[in-house]
Amino acid sequence: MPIDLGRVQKEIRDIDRDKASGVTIEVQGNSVQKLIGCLKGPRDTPFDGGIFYVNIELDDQYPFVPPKMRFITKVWHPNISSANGAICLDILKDQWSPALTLKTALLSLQALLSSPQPDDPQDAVVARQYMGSLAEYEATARQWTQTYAHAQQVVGLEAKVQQIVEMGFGREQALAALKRANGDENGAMEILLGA
Amino acid sequence: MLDPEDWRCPTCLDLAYKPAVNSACGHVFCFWCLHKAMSPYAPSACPICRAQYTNLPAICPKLHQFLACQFPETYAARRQETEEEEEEIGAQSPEPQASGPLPPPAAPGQWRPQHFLCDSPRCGRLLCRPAVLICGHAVCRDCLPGSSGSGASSQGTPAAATAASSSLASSSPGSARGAYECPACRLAARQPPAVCKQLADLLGELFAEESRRPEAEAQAAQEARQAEEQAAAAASTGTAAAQGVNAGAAKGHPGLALQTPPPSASPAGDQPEPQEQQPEAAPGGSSQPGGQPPAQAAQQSLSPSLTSALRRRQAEGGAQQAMAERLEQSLRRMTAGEEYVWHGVGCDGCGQYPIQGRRHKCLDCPEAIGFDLCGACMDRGLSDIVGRFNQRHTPEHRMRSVRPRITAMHMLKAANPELPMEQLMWLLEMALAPEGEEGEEGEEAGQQQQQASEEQQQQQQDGQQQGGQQQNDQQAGAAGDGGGSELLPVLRRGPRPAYDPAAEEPSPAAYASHQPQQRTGQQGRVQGPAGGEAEGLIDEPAVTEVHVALERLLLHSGTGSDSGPSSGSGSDAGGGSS
Repeated sequence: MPIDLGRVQKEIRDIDRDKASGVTIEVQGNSVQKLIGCLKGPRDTPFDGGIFYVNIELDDQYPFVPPKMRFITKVWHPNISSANGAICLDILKDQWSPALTLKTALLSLQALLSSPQPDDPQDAVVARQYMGSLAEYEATARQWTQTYAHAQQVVGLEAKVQQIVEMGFGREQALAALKRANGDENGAMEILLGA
Repeated sequence: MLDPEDWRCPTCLDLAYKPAVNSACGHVFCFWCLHKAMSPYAPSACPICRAQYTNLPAICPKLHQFLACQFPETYAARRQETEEEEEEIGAQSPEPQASGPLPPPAAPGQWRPQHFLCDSPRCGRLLCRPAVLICGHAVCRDCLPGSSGSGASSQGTPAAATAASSSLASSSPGSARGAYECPACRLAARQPPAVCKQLADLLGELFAEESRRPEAEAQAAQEARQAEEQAAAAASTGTAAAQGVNAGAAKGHPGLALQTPPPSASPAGDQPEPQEQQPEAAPGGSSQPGGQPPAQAAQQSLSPSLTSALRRRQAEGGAQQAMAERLEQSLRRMTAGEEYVWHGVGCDGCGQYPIQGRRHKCLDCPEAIGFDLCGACMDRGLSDIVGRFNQRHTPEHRMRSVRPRITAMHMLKAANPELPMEQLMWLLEMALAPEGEEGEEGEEAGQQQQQASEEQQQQQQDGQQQGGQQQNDQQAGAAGDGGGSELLPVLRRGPRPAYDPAAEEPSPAAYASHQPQQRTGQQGRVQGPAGGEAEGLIDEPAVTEVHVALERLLLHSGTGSDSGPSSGSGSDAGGGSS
């Protein structure tokens, strides 16, 4: 059975309409099953001022199975893998309910940023630092936010890197090509394919 | 409550079509949405409040009529959508019966109290604190026997309370008169029904005056009910369960479309004799013909390959031995008692999903979805009802008890009794994921592997279509090589648990009819009647590929001395089907 298109489209419309929520979403390509969500770093946290992109994939059985979410933007957080952006959050796993939506899930991610759960970590290194020295953790998280999530263009670059990586190129390779092409993804692809 | 937004199904975010109420909490969903939100392995959680529910959804005719007349255009569009979808999945939702004495109003908004009368034959007035039961009937909460009412005074008599607790504690054949029995039909719920707030709000808005039933009247009704309960409790202590069923049938309600009266009227050959004759026997024993001792019954239910694998582990000593012994113990307990869970199989009577304990299956229903009853409904003579998915089951159909069979999911649960099923599914999914969720370097290789195994499976499927005899071996081989990618889509929580017996035997949950399903379904039909007539119960037709793969994963891994995948599992699959 194909995915419930009606529901996903309604969800997207609902997010577009609600400007106050602080989360946005856009379709990636032709299929509504691949989306990119975007959320603002919560105030009074090391993530304040950052803009975080989340890769979203919907299974055919959505909403009866949770959406697959993963941070595209690099984040320093005990429940988010610093290497690949994998998220450890119960509502994205066994506590998912079909009455939850992409919007509520993105808002939950925002809430997760402001209240880490080091007891159930995704990234052991970050969790250890969080438990051991909170100040150090906050400094690192703030620095990562500034480096990877702060300026719009950096975030845009990160999304482009991810796109190229998904085509099968290495991360470093993609980043280098994008820099050489001044951030133009088509240019970067030409460089990569020509090389 | 006259705005369509108020009747939006929280799951599909559309107008609820064929509304079904989760009787555990009173939340309203579409029939299919509530069904799809169920877990085939364990009690389900309400999508909104996570209240546990264990019953397949039943459409509420009153709400159906209300939505159909109040929002005719949207509802018609939803009907078309749903019917197209049903065509695709090859299953039907039942058509709700007329819900009251009055025909539906000519125009939206012309509602009268007669459209919303309590379904209890003893009440028949405008619903007050309405509860929608597992059969779809709407009754006043206070019209229910054993209802806790609004105050401490209405807690019911001690006798009623004991009846309630005993029926909750066990679904044994003896407790036929459940505490939460529908006054209109005979169906008894295992959980107390909750007031449907949405319906209550609607009635409050439509009939502000009438819905304020005088306090004194409600009080009087409550007292009368208590007296009646007391009398009933006193009377029922000495009477057999069958008489209770007869009494229930006498005041049968058209809502459930009861076609014939009690079990004694249906042909004797339809009933599995052991259950009917000794309803009080131990459940494990009662599912065996000739009353074999439970220990022996349990022995039979573990497959030879499983038993030998356990023995091998036990012989190794140490931690292996302890683990194998613990596993065997819980597996035996599981198959011997009422604990056995029929993953993905629902009862077409009370709607218990998944069925726990005994399961009776219709041999003659042609619908892909099948027709099954739980032990309690079978004992209550509920083999003559319209199925929950519109199956055209008749009393002439033969019902057979099915022998419990340990599947890989049962083993997983037995090995980790403390973990909830949902979590086990996730662990399994992670363990079997072909592409590493973590670690980007492994991803590419994983994808290649998956691709390769898919190609292989394709080839093998092609082979299967040509060579019939080698089917089993090839299937097993495919499962061994590409098990992970095969498994993933079906292991999630969702409407179809296609890997387990449900995939083998069409059942309410396995409505998506796949090619392999049809094939094995036919196998089951061919062998079922023969075996069933001989010994009064039938076996699960065949071991699924996935089951074989998992069995190997759980028991053989690490022993090193494992034989090749196709030979070992092939023989197992053969053994299971014969």
